[in-house]
Amino acid sequence: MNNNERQFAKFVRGIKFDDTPDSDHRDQLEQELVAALTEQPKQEVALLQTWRTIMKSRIAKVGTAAAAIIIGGLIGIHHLGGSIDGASVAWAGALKKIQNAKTLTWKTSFMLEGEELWVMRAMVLEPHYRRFELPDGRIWILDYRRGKAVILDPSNNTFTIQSTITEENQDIYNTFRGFQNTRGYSAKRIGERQINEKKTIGFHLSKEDQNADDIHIWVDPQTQLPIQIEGTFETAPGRVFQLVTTEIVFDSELDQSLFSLEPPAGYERQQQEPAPLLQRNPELANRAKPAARAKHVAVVNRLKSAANLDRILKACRKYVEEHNGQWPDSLEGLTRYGLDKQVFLNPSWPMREVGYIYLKPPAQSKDRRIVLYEAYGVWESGINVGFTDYRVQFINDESDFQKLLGHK
Amino acid sequence: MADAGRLIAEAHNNPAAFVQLYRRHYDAVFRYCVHRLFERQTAEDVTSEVFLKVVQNFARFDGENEQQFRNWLYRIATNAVNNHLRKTARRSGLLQRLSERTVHQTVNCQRPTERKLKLLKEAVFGLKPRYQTIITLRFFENLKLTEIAEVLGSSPGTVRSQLARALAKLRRKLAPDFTDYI
Repeated sequence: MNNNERQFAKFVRGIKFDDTPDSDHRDQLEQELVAALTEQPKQEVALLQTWRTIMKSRIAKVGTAAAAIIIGGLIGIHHLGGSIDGASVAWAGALKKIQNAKTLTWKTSFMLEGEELWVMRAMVLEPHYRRFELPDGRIWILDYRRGKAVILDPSNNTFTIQSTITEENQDIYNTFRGFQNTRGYSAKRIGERQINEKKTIGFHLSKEDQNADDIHIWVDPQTQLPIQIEGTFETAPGRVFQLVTTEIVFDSELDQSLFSLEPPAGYERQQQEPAPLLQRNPELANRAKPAARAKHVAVVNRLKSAANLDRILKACRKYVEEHNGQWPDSLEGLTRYGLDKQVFLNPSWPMREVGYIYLKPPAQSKDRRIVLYEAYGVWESGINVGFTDYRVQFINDESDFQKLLGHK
Repeated sequence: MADAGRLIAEAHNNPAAFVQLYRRHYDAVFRYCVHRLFERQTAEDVTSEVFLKVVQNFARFDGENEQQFRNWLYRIATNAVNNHLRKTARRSGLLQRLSERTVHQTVNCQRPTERKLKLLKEAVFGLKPRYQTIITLRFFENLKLTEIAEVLGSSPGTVRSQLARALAKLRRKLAPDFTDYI
């Protein structure tokens, strides 16, 4: 270690990180891995981490994220090439209207597997106030100027106070700057759609990074303002949830009393930290479970199927090595390489007689081409595909798959 | 190490052996993620992503010993962390600031330490992802230059010069604030 390194090592030595591993997370992940590695999950798997995240999140964070999506989406359309109608002057007017708006209200639905799990309503009164109405009836009112929040619980006439809210995070229009500086986005028009009997124009915002989250925005062509915003977020492979923001209204009349930090008469103060939403509402958590589990099973099956293809391809490789570069005529002869019948069944469709389609490539073929893929009826989120280089790849897009097959 | 080699060979066909490998390496991967991301909940999510990718790709891992396995894990973790940082960077500074607040909440024991952590985070996030990786592997995971070179698929000489450049940048950013770093 040279002198520079020693000095830096000394500098970081005294810094305390919160880096002690959490055994709960370790055990929960272990269960998921075991489920992925073995035939059947041995224990009920835990909720998706998405839900863990929501459970642990303060509602302000979720609400502010929704605001960021609204504003950021609009900026994305305007600045990244997907102009609503090319009329930048009109857009500039809309932008000004947004920037000068004194209030903003919206509704955000949290969706999993197409099912609406819960709905949050939010109100903003510039410059300092936010109000979030949760599906369990609780109401969070935040005053960033005073750095204070009150959480009302009408179910038992209690309230709690938090005095750790900081000013720095709270101007929603700050998000303009964040998105304006973002690179790598592209925006394209995706046609029209009627939403609540109103014509809207759709835009798809995506990032070049293929793993990036997707945002769809439906805009009123007359006012240039958003009608509906759908954000799809993948927090881990196969773990997808959706935020759908609707009823977006700028500059509506909002009574100042909605943002009062004074609890209603008769409310009693509670001292403890307010519980996160799902932790406090097991019924909501239970609603999340079946869908979450279904998604988990889909991911596990996808992994298992990829493992099947991998084993079949390994057997093919042995066959090719033994037969001077010739691939087998069918998969049937491969059982002599130690493959059991189960490996030819796609775990996602165990009742189907043919789990995988085999395409015999020419002998000594140098091209990388598809030799094996999951039999499918309707294209859903994608399929596993095996190639002549004996590798397995999950392909999301059907048109990509068809191109690789040489059908397009 | 012979035992570790056997464990890796076994893990290809035996889920129990794989779980044993997982248990041996979970802490290191989690700590690496925390030290890169400065936020434990995100680090847990990324750690999950890393091990699910490991399950998905384990058939292709052709290393024979545990050190190669560990380097492979760091490589996957580095890609996952970099992907995560790329994704979150565009969601405005807003959520990032919220996560900073989380860091503050978790280290609210001593003010100077807290300030140091915040400045370190800002300084490290100002570096290229590759430099961030090198700094973390060297000073938090205590890897040798040769080991870092293996993780990054690079030569030790290149890693050495990149480390020097990264340190020079950090020094420029941090030195005005900390006399003990000069």
